[in-house]
Amino acid sequence: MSPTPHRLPDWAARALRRGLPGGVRGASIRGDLAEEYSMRRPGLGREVWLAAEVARLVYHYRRSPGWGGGAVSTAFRFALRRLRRDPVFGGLAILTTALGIGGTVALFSVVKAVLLDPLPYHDPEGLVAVYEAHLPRAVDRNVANPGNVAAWREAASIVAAEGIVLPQPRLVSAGDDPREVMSSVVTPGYLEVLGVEPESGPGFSPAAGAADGGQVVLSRLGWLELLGGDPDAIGRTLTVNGTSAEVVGVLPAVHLPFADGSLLLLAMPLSAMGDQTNSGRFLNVVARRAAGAELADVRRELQSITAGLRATHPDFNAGWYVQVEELRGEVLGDVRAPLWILFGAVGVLLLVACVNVANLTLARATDRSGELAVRTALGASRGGLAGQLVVESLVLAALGGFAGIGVAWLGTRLLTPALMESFTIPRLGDVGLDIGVLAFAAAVTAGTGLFFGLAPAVSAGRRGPAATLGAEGRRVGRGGGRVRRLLVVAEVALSVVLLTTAGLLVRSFDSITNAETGFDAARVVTGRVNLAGPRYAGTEPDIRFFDALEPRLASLPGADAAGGVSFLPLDGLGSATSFHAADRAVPPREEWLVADIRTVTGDYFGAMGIALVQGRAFEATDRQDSERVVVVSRSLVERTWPGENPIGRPLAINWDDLEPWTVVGVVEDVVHADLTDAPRPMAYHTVAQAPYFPFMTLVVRTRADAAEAVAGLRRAVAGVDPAVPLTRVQTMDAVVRASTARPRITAFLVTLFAAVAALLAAVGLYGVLSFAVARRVREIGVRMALGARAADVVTMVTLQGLRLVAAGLVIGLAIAAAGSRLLESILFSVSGRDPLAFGASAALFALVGAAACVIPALRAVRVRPGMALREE
Amino acid sequence: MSPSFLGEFEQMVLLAVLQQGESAFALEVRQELERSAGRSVSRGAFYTTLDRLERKGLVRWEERLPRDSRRSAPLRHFEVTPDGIDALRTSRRALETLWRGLDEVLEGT
Repeated sequence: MSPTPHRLPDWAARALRRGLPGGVRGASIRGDLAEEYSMRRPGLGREVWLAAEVARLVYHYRRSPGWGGGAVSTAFRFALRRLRRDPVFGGLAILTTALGIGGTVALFSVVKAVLLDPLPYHDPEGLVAVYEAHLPRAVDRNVANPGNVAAWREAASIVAAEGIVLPQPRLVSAGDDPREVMSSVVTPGYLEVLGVEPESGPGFSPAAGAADGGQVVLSRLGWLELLGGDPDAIGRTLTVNGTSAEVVGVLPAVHLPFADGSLLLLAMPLSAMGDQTNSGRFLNVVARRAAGAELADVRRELQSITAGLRATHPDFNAGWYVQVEELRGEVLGDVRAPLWILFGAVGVLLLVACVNVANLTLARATDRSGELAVRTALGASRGGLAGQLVVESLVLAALGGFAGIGVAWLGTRLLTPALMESFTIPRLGDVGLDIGVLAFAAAVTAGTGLFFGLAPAVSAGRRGPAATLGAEGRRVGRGGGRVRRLLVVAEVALSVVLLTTAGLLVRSFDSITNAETGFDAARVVTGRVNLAGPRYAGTEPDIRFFDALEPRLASLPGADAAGGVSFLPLDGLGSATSFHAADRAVPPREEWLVADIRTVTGDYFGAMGIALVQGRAFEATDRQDSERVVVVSRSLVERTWPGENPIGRPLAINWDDLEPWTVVGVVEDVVHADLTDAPRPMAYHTVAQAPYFPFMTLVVRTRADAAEAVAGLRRAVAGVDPAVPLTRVQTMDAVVRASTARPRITAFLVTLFAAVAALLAAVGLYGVLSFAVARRVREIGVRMALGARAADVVTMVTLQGLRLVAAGLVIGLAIAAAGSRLLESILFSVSGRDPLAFGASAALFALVGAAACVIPALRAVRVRPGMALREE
Repeated sequence: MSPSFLGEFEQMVLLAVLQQGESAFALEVRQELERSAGRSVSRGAFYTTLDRLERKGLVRWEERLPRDSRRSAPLRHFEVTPDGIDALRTSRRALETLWRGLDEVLEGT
């Protein structure tokens, strides 16, 4: 039997074939290695050994002169060697660059996915959103009336197709307990207009929703949450509001305009959504421009149709116009400004990081001036030296870039959930490090390397060898010193811009959280009930349910007060309509004001801590057959009966009829959708007299703990009807908190960037001053020998640094003041030139700067005259 | 031509090639080096040094067919050229000159 020949594993042989010279030379080396390999004991240790040997061989041969070498690779090797020799500098520079690049790339990946990539629809540029707008009341982007939508659809020739959305919470069950989930009723053409096809399943049939036997299409989220991502979801049956519906499609994870967050879509023809006998406005419309039609054409055509509608239905179309907008802007909504601001802020941070590394590189270049001078004297060309310095910077930047991509990866992981939660950003599911992002990272890295490589390269090229060598590196580099001081001023200025921005955002966030809400969220627990299904058809059963619930709420153990409201403040949806005072001449339709409409049950005002200003709240005697009474908000009174007593006045509210309601009480204004909204007129009904909505958010002000209160609520609801679930249980504090998530994260991130920038600037300042002190050791020594006191020296050095700080502060504050206009769109009750934010950032940086100056100054004092002089 | 100046590692490689004589294959030379130097020798450094010595004309090699049937790859047999011998001699002389008279310093307690 012939012995087994020595062999290398395939991967090693392949690597060596590529990494070693060809012919016998390489073959023999491989043979040697194979022989030693086969003599070793098999096992993991042997493989590790082999991997190390292969790597070292390839490394050596790649580096070996005359074999694949060249000016550039020599420069690279040299650069790597220098980095290894100076690990503190290298580590600092790489860390700084990685932070800057990583942050920038992470935010770029968000900006790209959300703002730059085209919407994930078929021909997204052709999509528009159609709204109604009430010009006299300055209401824009209002949902539309179904009759008007039908008229547009009927008459328009240049809108190719449209999809209509009506978001509604539904009780859904996949065989388990029903729970309330967000769903949207859409016309069957909705998905077709967008060009979104189900990932599986046929989707809605053209006649879907017209007949019984409902069909539902699940969003990706719905598929995961309702069916646990069941691969055989198609054909399964869900119970939706008590009737069964078949799953006919599962959508990909895309943003659904006006239906985002919906777990399921239900199809319904437009005619079933309502008509002009119902004057309500509640539809969202997505449409596609016909080929060749411009946005302006669509606007013109729909406007002329709407003019006709104002003429034919003045009763509820007076003052209403049509508004057509590009869908893109509507989908992105108001996330654009804060996202660009965040991106800008992190870009400034990257600049500070670059300047900082440039500064470090320059300091090192000064240290190396001796070496560079020798090399110039020995015949190295200035171009060659500058090239070497640039290559060194590029190597640094590349290492920083790689680490930065790691930071970015981590950053997107950490950022995405936080941003997603607070911005409800459409399409954030797509954020990732794709080719575009990596290309951006590469470009930023290269730019960064050039940026902080060029300054030292230029300054190295300028200096003559004789001057440098003569000075023996001690008194050199006035030029370099000046550039470094300028860089520090730039760093300080940029940091101050960031600090000021952070200050403004924090102030704004502070005003938001301290904004007057009109209620007291402490110790309040909320939970929703939704009366859906055949047993609650019509309004009578709703009234019976809430009637039965009321005494149970009143006697909840541990509760100060309990009640319910149709739409909880700061929790999304709401309803509104026009109204007028019925005790004076009826104004023209278009001059009617709009009030938010809420129905309440139990002691809602007591539970929420909404103050009663005048009159009374609802009482148990306010029944269907008693006088129709309404409680209104303070601002409704101010706009309707300014300076008069509103109690007992009649109010005509445009809901089912215009029969007047008698005002019996006035309560304090309460914020509606957003803490930053101005107070709006609001009218409250009691559910017994106005059973408009088959759902209610129950509210309990508890003395006991939250869990106990929730248990009590559940018992109360189950006591009336065990089939009605209590869903979306949350504390009112959490509701308020969630509504401030966006300004919170924006302020937090910019503050983080500003802190890092300030730290980097302080490091830069410290570096420059330490260097200056080191250079002036002799001078300081002489001064002290001649009797200068320590305090004088400290003052001298500190002042030198503070001059830089002051220059940076002035420039930074000027830039911040000039740029504050860009911020104003996201500031709340804080001016873009808020003196407190500007003053605080200046003071803060002055402190940081002083600290960075004092340390080198104190070191200067420790210079002993004798030693300093001996150094010469 | 004037003999090249030899680095320490180059000298050691040349000497090891001479020591091995007829069996001066790369593998054996390296093992000899490790044995006499008492430390491991980087494979990459070793081969690239051989290449450099070859470029300087201090060693040459010829391909031999392996006698051991398990050796499937070609083998290079190395030999120090007369220039290589000269270079070693020069280096040794230079070193000996430098060493002279320092025994007391270096060996003394």
